[in-house]
Amino acid sequence: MSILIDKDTKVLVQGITGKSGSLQAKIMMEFGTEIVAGVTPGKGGMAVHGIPVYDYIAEAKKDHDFNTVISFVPPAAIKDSSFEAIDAGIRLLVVTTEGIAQNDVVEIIQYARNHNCYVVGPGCAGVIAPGITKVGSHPDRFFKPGRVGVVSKSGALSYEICKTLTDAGIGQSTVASIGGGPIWGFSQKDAVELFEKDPDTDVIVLLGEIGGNQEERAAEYIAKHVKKPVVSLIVGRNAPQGKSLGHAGAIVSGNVGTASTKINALTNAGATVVKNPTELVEKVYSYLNA
Amino acid sequence: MNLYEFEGKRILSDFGIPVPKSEMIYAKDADAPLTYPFVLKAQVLTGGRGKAGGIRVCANEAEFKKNAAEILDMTIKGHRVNGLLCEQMVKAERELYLSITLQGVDRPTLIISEAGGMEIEEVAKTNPDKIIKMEIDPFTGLKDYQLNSLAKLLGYPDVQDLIALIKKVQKAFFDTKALLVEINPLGVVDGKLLAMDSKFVLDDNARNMRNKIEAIEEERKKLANVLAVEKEKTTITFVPLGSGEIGLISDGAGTGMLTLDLIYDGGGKVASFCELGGTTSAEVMYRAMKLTMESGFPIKSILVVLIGGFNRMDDMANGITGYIKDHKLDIPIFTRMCGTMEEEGKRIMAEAGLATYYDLTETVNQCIKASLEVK
Repeated sequence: MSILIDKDTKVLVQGITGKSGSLQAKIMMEFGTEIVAGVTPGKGGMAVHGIPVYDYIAEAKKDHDFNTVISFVPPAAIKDSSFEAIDAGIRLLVVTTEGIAQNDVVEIIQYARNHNCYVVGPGCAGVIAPGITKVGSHPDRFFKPGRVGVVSKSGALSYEICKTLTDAGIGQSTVASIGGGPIWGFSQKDAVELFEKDPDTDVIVLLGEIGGNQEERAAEYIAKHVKKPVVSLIVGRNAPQGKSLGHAGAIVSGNVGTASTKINALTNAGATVVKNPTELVEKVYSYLNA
Repeated sequence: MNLYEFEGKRILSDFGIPVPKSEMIYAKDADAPLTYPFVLKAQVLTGGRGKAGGIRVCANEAEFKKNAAEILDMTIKGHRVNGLLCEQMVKAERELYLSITLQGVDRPTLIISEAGGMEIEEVAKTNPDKIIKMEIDPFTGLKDYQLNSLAKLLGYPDVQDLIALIKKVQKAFFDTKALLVEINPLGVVDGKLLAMDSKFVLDDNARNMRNKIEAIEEERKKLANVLAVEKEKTTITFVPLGSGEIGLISDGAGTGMLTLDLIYDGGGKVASFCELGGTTSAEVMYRAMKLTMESGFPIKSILVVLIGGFNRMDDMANGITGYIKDHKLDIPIFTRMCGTMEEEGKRIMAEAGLATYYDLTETVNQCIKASLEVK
């Protein structure tokens, strides 16, 4: 098993005729993801890499079954298209789009919550269950099937750490890359909760970064509910105050969101906090073989 | 985008929120625009104006001339004063605090307090029970029961006036897709609520506000000391850190921060941090090289950390080699390259005589070594 996605995941791609949507749809299909349809308003009737394209999701729903949507829709249209996806009764929406107005993000997430749908993102790389399926942009050569569950804000950091794990022979059950914030749908705490319940995950890796309080909330949950070992790496220890380093959410202001607050919270919750990828692999290896 | 008090108050006023009568003054030799007494308020994008002497009452012409000249010459917490808001003097019977924020929270949150006129962070420390917070459902806005309970909790006598004002602030917040609307103090003058100050933060990504933001930027040209900041038109985040030997470029914020930590842990120092942003092209990589090389810092080596998901390594290699072809490079460059289109990227780099690496830790260590040796 895995979290969020599994062998029954059937995907519709929103914005499939765009440059990124088309390329990623192709890469996902080559990986083995079951993509049943695509949607771009005005492009209904065409096909992208053999995938039928519709104007509206309701039209696609008449011909196909799907439970998951990945969206490459530009910021101006993302709110409405996300509502459309959620209205179709899906259980997971992955939003890759960056640069969305924050009040729009709030509405998308609230609407999804009201309809029992997970939103991963926005501005995220998505989710991969190595060897099974992926709904995202993870380069699959850095991943292999295994028993480590990984959650990361940053997409690239999840690739980096999984590359190091894979090179050391350690595979992953699911890797969720949830985006750079400052507002998230699916959270680090949500991921930890699902990994704790997932029978095929033995060790949880939490990749955090400065800014916000996601890591602290995950730590609260870990302290109360998590029995599996959690290994965590918090990046941005040497970042300057008050400046965002690429992720809108990765900013320290005053005492809020500092690396040390997060490291302390996770350490006190019983997680093992490491300083670099090399240490991370050592710890994960020792927990897997304990 | 952070707004000046006078800009924010105009928006508040557009939404029917009462503000004191006021005029802007841009120059020292301006005539008094209102009848005495009035208040001159320094326009700066920072707090603590009052303590710094940037808010003064003028009772007559002599005081006005002296104060206007002095305040316009002030620098407050590193911010040069940009014009004066000349505001009719009002006497507040009470000062409240009111804001709706989306900063540091997951949902729009109303914050209201009877302890207005001081920093809300200060109240939170000394008198946390005097702060009332309420989350706002973006689809319904504050519900009537929420508004009624707020009025009760606050113990404010004119419930209807308070609720009407909160609704207007809420409309201003949602219609402008703001990140913060703060009125502190929210004065009670002659029994009626009046916005005596304003802090407004607009969302640069809010498309419905594009024209408004452009109009504000245009009007800011009137301000004496606004520095023309050249906006980066690409997805790049470039942060000068200073006093280091390494120029760092990465194609992910998370890996960039990880690399920054690895460099410091390894005894190196970073001059500048450059993150390419989402899906990027060769041109963006070229621009990143240019920003890093022309930062003005005496860098001794460049470290480029790439791990392609959305990004293609052939594009990245073309950006790097293109820059070097145009500008030459007299310092060593260490490039970690893997992911989408990796083989093609490596080939382009090799043809230009540039080495590439695979392991991040090794690349970082090589780069630190070079940055220390070249001294």
